[in-house]
Amino acid sequence: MSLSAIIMGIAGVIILFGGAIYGLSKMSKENPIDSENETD
Amino acid sequence: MARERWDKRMAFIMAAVGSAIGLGNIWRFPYMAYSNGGGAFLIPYLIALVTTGVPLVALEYYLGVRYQKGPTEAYGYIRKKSKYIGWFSLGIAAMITFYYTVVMAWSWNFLFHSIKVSWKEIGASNFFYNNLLGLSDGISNLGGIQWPVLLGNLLTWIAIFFIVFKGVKVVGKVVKWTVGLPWLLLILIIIRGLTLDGALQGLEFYLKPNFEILKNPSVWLAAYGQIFFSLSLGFGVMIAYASYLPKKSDINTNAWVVSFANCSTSFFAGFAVFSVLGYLAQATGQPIDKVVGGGVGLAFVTFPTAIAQMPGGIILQAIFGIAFFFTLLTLGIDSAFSLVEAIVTGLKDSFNVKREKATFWVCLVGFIIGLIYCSKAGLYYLDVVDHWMNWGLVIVGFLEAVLIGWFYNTNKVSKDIDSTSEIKFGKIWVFSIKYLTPIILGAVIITSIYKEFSNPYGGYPQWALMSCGWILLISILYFAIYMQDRNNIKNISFTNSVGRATGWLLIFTGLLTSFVLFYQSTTLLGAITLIGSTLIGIFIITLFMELNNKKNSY
Repeated sequence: MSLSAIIMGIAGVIILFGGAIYGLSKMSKENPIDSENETD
Repeated sequence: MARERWDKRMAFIMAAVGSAIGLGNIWRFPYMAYSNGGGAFLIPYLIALVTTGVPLVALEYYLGVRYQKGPTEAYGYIRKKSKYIGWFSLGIAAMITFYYTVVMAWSWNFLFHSIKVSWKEIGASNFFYNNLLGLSDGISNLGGIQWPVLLGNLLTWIAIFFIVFKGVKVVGKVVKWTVGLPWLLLILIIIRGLTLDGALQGLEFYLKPNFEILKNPSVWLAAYGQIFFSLSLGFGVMIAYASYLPKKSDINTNAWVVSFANCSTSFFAGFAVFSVLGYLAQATGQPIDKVVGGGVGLAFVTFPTAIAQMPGGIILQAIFGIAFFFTLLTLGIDSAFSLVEAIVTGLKDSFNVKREKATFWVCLVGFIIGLIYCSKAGLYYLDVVDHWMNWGLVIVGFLEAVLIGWFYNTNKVSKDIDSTSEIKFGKIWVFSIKYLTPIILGAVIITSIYKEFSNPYGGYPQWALMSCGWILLISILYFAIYMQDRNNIKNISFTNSVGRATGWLLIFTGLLTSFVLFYQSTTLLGAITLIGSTLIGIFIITLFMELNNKKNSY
């Protein structure tokens, strides 16, 4: 495999999975919905 | 009565991810990336994801979360006369579900036949087109029912009924499996794929960047189109699912997580697809561009061919086959039941019918209409209808962005969304919904119209393209306008109702006449009749609607 292909593969994984993990980390800080569920 | 709720926020996220991740992640994205610059495609893809994908998902969540209604009612809160967008999106969702379940039916059959790798001796292409589908010689020849496909379709509808009829709490439990399992199986397929000879050459084709191609606007349009189709936008699914969240829910972070989870799955699936394609190319001594492809052919011909060629004997081939088709089933089923959920939520909210009753009727009607796709000409109909329904989705996306961007206070919505969200989009969201999304989706519509007329799709006869394409799409639009119109029939005078009925009669007659004209290959006259009767009919209906509104306002 060429170096450019390897770089794009790694970059894609880091950015896309990183994006999802970033979102999840924002969710775990505060989770108002689950607590709201009780009273809604 | 209090609205149903998801058990946990994570249940909603998983359900939305399950809906977005479908067969397209395996058979559309990898091929799209390969044909549009390989690894370089990631650049327009990521930009499209952040600039229109996430904002549009957030917009649909906003409609569901804040108005606590499914698509048919939620649009009405923005503007009374926009309810038709919700009905239109549900019509499209229904048409797509009716054939999507048939693709599931093929997967059930392949799963069953994987035990003995039944296609090994006769070839996957022969097995799929002749044995399983019994494909007729053309779209005009229905040729009777293919019973194994019908049985698979029945099984799928029964599964959907039992998942949806009890409400989103059950959906929330099922998606843990239908999202988790395909991920595990994909990892297994990738591990096996990467250990095959030629896998790295396959990945080279998938990932090698060609940055020159990014100068071509069609690559950017392809990236935006791919993002749009991949995120389950335009069906009303996201609105329906979000309507079961509490009113003050975090909108942006949910949209962000779901969109990124979906796109990372697509990228990940590319590794599975291209490692196996690389192996197939080497095993058959063909260049990779001869084996590469997307869509139905990839899943039901190319992959089974590769499976039958794999080393390790029939047991390992069978295990790989079962893993692959079970992945397809689990990927597809949560997309299929999310579409049904959207329709059921729409019917429930607009007509106050019980969930069980609405689910039963949607499943029954879906199964009956699906009979045409279980015929020997089923694949042809599926192909044509699928092509046009994609059009419908883009139209819905365009309409919803224009509605919020230009007929509502976008700044107010943006502030409202940000106020309950951890991740803030600010002005980027406003810019996306008001300018970028309508321009991009408008460009997709215009270029598609141009392509449609310069090169009729798939070499099908004109009558088939017209009736399963244009007429079907326009009929869904009429249905949507009718559903909106019927909401305004309170305090209506006799003259007014006769006036409206005349409009509908004109549209309906025009539709039938144009169908006959298309069938007789008098395309131009058919098109003039269709457009003329539509315009005059809609004018008459709108006129009487306005007269009635005026009368009621005095």
